Amino acid sequence: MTQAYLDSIKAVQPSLPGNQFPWLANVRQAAAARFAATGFPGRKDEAFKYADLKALEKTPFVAKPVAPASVGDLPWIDIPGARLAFVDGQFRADLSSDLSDYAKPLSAALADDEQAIKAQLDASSDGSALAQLNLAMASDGLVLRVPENADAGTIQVLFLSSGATAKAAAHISSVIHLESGAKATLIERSLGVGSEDYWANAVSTIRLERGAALTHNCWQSDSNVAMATGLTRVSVDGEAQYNRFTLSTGAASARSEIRVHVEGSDADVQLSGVQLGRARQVLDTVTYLRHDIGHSTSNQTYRSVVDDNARTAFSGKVYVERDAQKTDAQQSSRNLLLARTAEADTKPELEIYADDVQCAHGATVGELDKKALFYLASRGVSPEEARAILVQAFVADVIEGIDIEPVRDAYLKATQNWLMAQL
Amino acid sequence: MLKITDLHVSVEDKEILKGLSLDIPAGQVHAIMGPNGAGKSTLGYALSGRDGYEITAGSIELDGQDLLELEPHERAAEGLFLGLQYPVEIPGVSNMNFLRTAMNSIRKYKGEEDISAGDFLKLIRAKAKDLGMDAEMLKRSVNVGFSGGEKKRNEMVQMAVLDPRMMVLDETDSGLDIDALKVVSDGINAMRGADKATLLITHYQRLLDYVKPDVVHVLAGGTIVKSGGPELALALEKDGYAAIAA
Repeated sequence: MTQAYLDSIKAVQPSLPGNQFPWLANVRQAAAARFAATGFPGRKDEAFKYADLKALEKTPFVAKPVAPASVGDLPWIDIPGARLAFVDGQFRADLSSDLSDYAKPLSAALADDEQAIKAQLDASSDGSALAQLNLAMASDGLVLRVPENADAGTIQVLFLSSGATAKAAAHISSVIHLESGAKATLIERSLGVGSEDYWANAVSTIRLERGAALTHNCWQSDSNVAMATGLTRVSVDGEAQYNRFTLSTGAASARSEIRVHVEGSDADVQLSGVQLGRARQVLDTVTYLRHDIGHSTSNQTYRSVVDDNARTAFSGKVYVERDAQKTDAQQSSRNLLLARTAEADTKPELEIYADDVQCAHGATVGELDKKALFYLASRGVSPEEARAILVQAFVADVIEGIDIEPVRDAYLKATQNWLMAQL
Repeated sequence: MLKITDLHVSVEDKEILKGLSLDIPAGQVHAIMGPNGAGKSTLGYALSGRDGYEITAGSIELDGQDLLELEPHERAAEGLFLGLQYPVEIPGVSNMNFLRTAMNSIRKYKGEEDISAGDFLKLIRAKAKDLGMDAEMLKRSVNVGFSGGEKKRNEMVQMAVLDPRMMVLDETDSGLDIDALKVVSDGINAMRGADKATLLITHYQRLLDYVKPDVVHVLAGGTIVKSGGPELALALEKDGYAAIAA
């Protein structure tokens, strides 16, 4: 199957944005070569232990999507700021608005100043075969560059898959760079509208310089036949803050990997997420947090709710380098099973070489509290509503940590809708 | 109002109630007293329809309606309220949200519209105030971090807001100091009325000093062994269960 992907790379590369720049063509070719050498990761690959990527190998997702002219109203969250829409991996100016100087599609950013993003793309050679395929054939993405001490405000991005062509693939590559003291809020959502299966494969490379602060909220709501894979790489300098929340409700099979390198002291990294799985969905979250320098904090809070025959997984690794003294790294993974046939896997992992650190993890897997269910029933609450109220309570503490009200409300509503669809 | 006839209840295949009959007319307060293990709490759970309490024989009727055909939430919607000996903590669900959901569920069952947010707020604040509960506590998670007395007070607030017609209060007096006992008693007395009835399940006579029952029953060995007026409770207190139940 690898060959079909390689053929597809060859076919699309000439049309990719910026391919006229030799350095970028080289980066893409090298990525294709690395993919050819490894092929897709298997279950034996620890980071892919719980993911279900069989579909990608079974029949290649290499079709060129034919985006429909009209995709209907896009579900923007009502919040001021720039709005960028991508449909089937292509930026759509007609669906975007209030573009900011800081946020552009990759295609435009390469045309404007290809050198500005060279360093970050050049350095993106690590990562799995999925990341290599992305690097080799990403058709577009978001470029967000915020200069020193500037505030880019809120940037909302929608990645829509039309689902009009079976086995279509959209590889999205985003490059985000906040210079020293810069600020931005990035709100992303991926979604699918059609009925055909597709593969959305997104890679974001984020660099936060000293004192920069990025709030990053993502919602994976791809269609229930989709494959949705994502990798976010973040380098965090001293005093910088990366605050990430991920809601994962969609896709037949989803995998989200977040890799954060803390490269300075007094940095703060907050990773949190909620996965809601049902039917036969497989939702997998993998985090890797590396503290190279001490006196920084990281906090991970993940919740999964699993029903039917669905499976969710969370694997979180924290690595603390020998010199990273006074690191404070916390991790919590709690999982709620709504059916005996559902499965939740959680795998915390700590690898610590410094001796003066505060690192802790907690993981639980449980069912709804029967006493609470009876208590609610004894007050007149129907079993369906009782279940909904308890599930909402289970995920609420994480979602309520989002301090942008319209985003928080949108995610709470999404949770509610998910629960209602269960009834 | 509540008519229990020859009720047999098993828990994990062990028969706990062995032919209990009880008739509580509207407007009355009955008390069931009995030693530990007599089946007092089983009666409360069986009335409310909790899972695991298997009715092997007998009937329970609320104003002529067969309760055994109904799910626990339907029984509540029909006007049955069970005050729990150990109210449950529900982290993440505020008292407000809990009660509003309950109230609207009951309204939906009856084919009524949801209560408006404003009316609900007015109602719950007034009831909390009557029962001496701080309005701030309404925003807190259900019973989380509440003292024993606060939990029982919260039960009374729930009861006042939901306004049931048949109240079954299981050991509502246990673990209360004298002040809390007075608050709870006031709550129960405030709910007395010609179209309502109350069943107090209690181990001690103490509560009955504050809530005067019309009839006192003694439950022992899974059945009612004696019934009488309030003086029966005093005799139990004085002579002990063994003497009366014998």
